[in-house]
Amino acid sequence: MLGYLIKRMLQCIGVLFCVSLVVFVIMYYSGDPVEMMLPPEATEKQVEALRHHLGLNKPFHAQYVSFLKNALQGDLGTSFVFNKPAVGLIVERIPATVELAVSAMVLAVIIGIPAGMYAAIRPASWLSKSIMTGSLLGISLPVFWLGIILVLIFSVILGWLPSSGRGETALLAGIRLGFPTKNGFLHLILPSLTIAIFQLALIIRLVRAGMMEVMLQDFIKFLKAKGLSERRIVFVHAMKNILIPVVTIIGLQLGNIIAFAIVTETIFAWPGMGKLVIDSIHGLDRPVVLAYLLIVSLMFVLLNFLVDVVYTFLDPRIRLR
Amino acid sequence: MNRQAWLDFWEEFRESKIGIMGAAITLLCLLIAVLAPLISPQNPYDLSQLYLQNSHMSPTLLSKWSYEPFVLGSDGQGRCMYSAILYGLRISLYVGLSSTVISAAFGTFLGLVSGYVGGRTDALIMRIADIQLSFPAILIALVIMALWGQGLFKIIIAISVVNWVFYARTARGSTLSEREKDYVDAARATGVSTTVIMLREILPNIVAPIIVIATVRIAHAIILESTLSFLGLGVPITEPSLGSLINEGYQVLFSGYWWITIFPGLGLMLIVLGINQLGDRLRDVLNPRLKR
Amino acid sequence: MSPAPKRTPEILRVSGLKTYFFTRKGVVKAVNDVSFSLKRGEILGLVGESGAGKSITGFSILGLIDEPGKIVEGEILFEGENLLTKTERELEVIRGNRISMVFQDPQTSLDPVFTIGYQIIEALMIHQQMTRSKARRRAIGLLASVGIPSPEERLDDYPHQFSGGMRQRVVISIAMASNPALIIADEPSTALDVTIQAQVLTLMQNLVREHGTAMILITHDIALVGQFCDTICVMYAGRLVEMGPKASVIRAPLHPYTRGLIRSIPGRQERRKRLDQIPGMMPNLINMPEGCPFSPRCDLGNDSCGSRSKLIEIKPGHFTTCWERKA
Repeated sequence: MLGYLIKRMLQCIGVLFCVSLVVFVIMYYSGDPVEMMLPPEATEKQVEALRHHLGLNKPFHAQYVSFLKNALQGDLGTSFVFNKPAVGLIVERIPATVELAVSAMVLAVIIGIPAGMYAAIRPASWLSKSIMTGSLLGISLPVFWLGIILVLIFSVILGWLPSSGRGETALLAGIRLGFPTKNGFLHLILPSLTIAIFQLALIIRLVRAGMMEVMLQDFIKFLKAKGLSERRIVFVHAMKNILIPVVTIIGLQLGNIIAFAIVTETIFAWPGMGKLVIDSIHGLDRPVVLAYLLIVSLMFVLLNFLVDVVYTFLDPRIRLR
Repeated sequence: MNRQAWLDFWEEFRESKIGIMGAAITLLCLLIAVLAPLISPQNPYDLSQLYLQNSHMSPTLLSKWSYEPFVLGSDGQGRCMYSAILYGLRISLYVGLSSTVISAAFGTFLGLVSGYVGGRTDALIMRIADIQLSFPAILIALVIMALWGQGLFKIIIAISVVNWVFYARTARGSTLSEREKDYVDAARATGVSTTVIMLREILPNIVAPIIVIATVRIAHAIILESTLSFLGLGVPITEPSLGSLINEGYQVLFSGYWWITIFPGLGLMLIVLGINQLGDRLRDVLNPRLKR
Repeated sequence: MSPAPKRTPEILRVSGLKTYFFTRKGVVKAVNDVSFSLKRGEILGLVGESGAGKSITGFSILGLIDEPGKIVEGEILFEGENLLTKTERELEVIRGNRISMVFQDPQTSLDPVFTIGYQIIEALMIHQQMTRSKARRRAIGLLASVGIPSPEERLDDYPHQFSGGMRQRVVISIAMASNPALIIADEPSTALDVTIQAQVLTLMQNLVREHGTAMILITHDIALVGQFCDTICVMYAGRLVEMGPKASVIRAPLHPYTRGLIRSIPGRQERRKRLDQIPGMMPNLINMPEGCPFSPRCDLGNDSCGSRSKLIEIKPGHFTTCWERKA
């Protein structure tokens, strides 16, 4: 198993290299930053001097190497708009996005797993049928439109919940979080609900499909022949069998959620990474966009790796090979 | 597939009302998409037909310039929402279908080659696919559009780039199992060339799971297009798109002009729901394992 | 606590069992009026081709029939009580406890994500209310009794860490855990290597003899029942066509189908060059006509074959439904 994990880790590093190369290529071929940085009256000599100073007249691979060196030290360029290091801008917004992502996932899991299991065991009941119809609706709704509807209902019409911003925040273990404060918590509800509904629908469908497949297996019949009650078969045996793929999906979906957060943060003006990157795209702030790409890639790769580790621990068939 | 197989399929498919409804909705939307210019009262993207004085009219209020009401209201440019939605559905389906066809063709071909030829080609193609799959689709499409700029053609390509992996993986899996079967050996023994084997023998047999995947991905493609347009990174404002309409509507939502964002959204939901229901039912019927 | 079971010599009596499957294409009469009985400690062989209804009979006894199947008629008396009238909860008490079952494929019988120790101990703790430590000790003893080496270490292993034959032994140990009065073994050796088959069956035979457990051995292999069973029941297309003591059935079969089965055993071919086959195939079980189901393939026959017949005792304890009734 250790060998497998090491192999995976090397793969992750390889992926990161590829991404960094792609990002660098984009940067290299996407226009001359020098032109953008100097006023139009600058002389040819000044342009040349700046270019030399920034190392932009060196060959491709040399530039890539210095790019990597800088990246590993945490320097990914300076924002055109804010005139601050791009990395800093993004990192300071990570807590906001992660808080959103985690609350959405927690919500989706707490409701989704029991609902999916119920829909699998009692498929004919009206509750199950409504759950399945609901889940179909959930995955059919584009995230952004769902957000708008929620805003319409809860902010515009009912006026119960705020629709923009993060509200008050408090420091928890050095991280700035919203949910400990009442105001911050209220601000968190609509955006996380928006993301959660899609994930919820996905989890319900997955759990249901997984359960139905597991219940058809021979060993379930054998457990029944052993005299186990349906409750035990479902909640101990079937559940552990589907837990492994479900946990995997949940882990992988966290990456998706961070991507969905881009849209949600835009709608709710949530001050996270996503909103920053959209604003930067529209504002032509390329360093921030590329820094976002690299950082988010790092997060995904780490996440996938973690999921792999958890998976190998949970499935005895892999653990003990 | 012979006639009896089709009849059996239809018999079983018919059993679920949801499936029928999904099929009906999808068909309706397809019809709308094809006939949009003929059945809409106005071409909302022809600037000569728009009058700014008509902007922000609520549904069924009379237009200041004609005696016909805007059935679903008008937007900030004076566009008839009803017409805009019809045109928007057209674009959604156009993007959805064309990107699906392109990515399915491309992906299936690569998966076929990968599965049949094996070896390093297989490893390379699958490695690329795996790397791409570890990133969310929306992110990849977003980056492409952000760097390339807006445009209808561009977004079709971007969505195709995102989706080819799903087809490639499925095609490869099916090809791997088909490859071991006797009819392939028979073809090889008679000296048929590799390309012909792949295309003539194996391809027809792996089409079914590809169709199953396509039913899922079409809806995704449609949602992706509208999401990107909503963010201002998809189809430009001068072309119809449900996503940009919804965006426009959201900006003025708090001023009370609710119809600009609601109706396009309903239209979007309708088409996606229809396709998903149809796809769900198709998958249930085509799935041999759950049929005991 | 339910009253102590009556210790009569007969522990199982199946009467007129009918298990039908209501499918979209029609009604499949998988078990169509089957009756037999079993004494304490007796090994009964239920033999027939695939699809003859033998496994379904076994499942029906334990009430393990799923949709679209249903036990439509009949009586299953176990230690004097009719199992078909029992509630699910009452059946749960009996399953794995008074009546156990061994399935065909050991690969898929065990839950892959739990240790085999857990699965044995689970059975013990549920049926016998043991403490965990006591159950653990008993589990080790059980594993030893089925011939698994180093049982104490193996208790914490997972099913995929065992070979096929070992896995089946584990399954047998689970079945024997609560010392049941009856074990239903559904093709217990079919999925195993030929060399292991005899081992597993011999093990089962020894165990049931030792504990006085009755066994129904379901198999398609008549040579097996000839070797291991006391009584033989032959099923065809959902009906019981012959029933009797092993020696009598093997040496002097009364039904043409049984005769065909015995003739097709490779070892008995003597001077023939080609294997004897029973021509034709078992009929489609949907909408079967009345009358002897074997008649289309039978080389004997008279006019009565078109109508149903009951099991008639031709010789002491030896029954058949064949109209020919030739010995």
